[in-house]
Amino acid sequence: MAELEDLIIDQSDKNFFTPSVYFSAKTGICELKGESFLENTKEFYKPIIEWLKKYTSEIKKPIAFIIKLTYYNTSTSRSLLEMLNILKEYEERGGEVIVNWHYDENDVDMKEDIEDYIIDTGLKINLIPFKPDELEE
Amino acid sequence: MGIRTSFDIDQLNMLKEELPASCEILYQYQGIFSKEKIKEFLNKISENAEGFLTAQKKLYYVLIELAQNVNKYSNWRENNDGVGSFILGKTETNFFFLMGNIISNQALQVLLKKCDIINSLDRESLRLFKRQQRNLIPGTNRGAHIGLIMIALTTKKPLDIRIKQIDSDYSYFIINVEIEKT
Repeated sequence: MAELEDLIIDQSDKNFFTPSVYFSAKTGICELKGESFLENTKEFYKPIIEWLKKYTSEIKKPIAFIIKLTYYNTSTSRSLLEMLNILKEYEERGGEVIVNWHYDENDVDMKEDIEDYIIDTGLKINLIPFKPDELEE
Repeated sequence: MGIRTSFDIDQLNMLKEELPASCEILYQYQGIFSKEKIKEFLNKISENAEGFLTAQKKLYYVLIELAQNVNKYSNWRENNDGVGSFILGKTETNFFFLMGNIISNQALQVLLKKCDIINSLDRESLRLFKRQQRNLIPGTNRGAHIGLIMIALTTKKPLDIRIKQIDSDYSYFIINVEIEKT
């Protein structure tokens, strides 16, 4: 079985705004951070979704999925749902899953949307508010 | 009825006919909605809504959905980019923007029906509708307009659509977005 490599994509504003991706096969920490407004959302998220499928079917270690997106568009929201559904299925097969979703404390719409993801996926998602600029590095 | 590279109309003038009373225009534009231009719109929002953190977020969300739609679907196109028009402004209580683009009358009828459905729903039903649309298998729901549902949810208002018929084939589609200064 081929080893699963870490998946690292730097944040970019070449194709509107793509988030940074840091998925570690070794630690199981998977972080999406930044803004996600893309033209070809499916194309961007395809390898990320494939990586998650591989991790949850081959590595089978605990996974901490951390979302720190300050904005995402509706086409991104479908890909997020697909990823969360993979995690829910993994959890149902006995996988250990933690989801921490950080959101701007002023962003009432994102908070409401995360609550809708909780209803849809049945996952326990930890909502963690942050103050503006806290995510800046 | 397909793509055209020019129309003999002044989009900005038509947008200005729809301005709210006692408003100040902060930015206006007519032309191709390239990525760079959409980023400029976002910068204008950041500059002008500075300090209004919730309003800034909402304007940002709604603008990007609508501007990407103009870029993708406008029937007036130059190279690969859709042509449209945009006015950002403010009144005493609100920020607003008007965005317009050319649409075929055939596509318009379909779009208006979807807007009617969205505008007939209360907030809880809209959230449910959004979840249903998002849960559909990608590719099976072309034109479900989850973006429009999101806009109604974000603005907490019905979609405010204005139509100006150009000829028997095309119309100018305008959406007015108002967000309270919070």
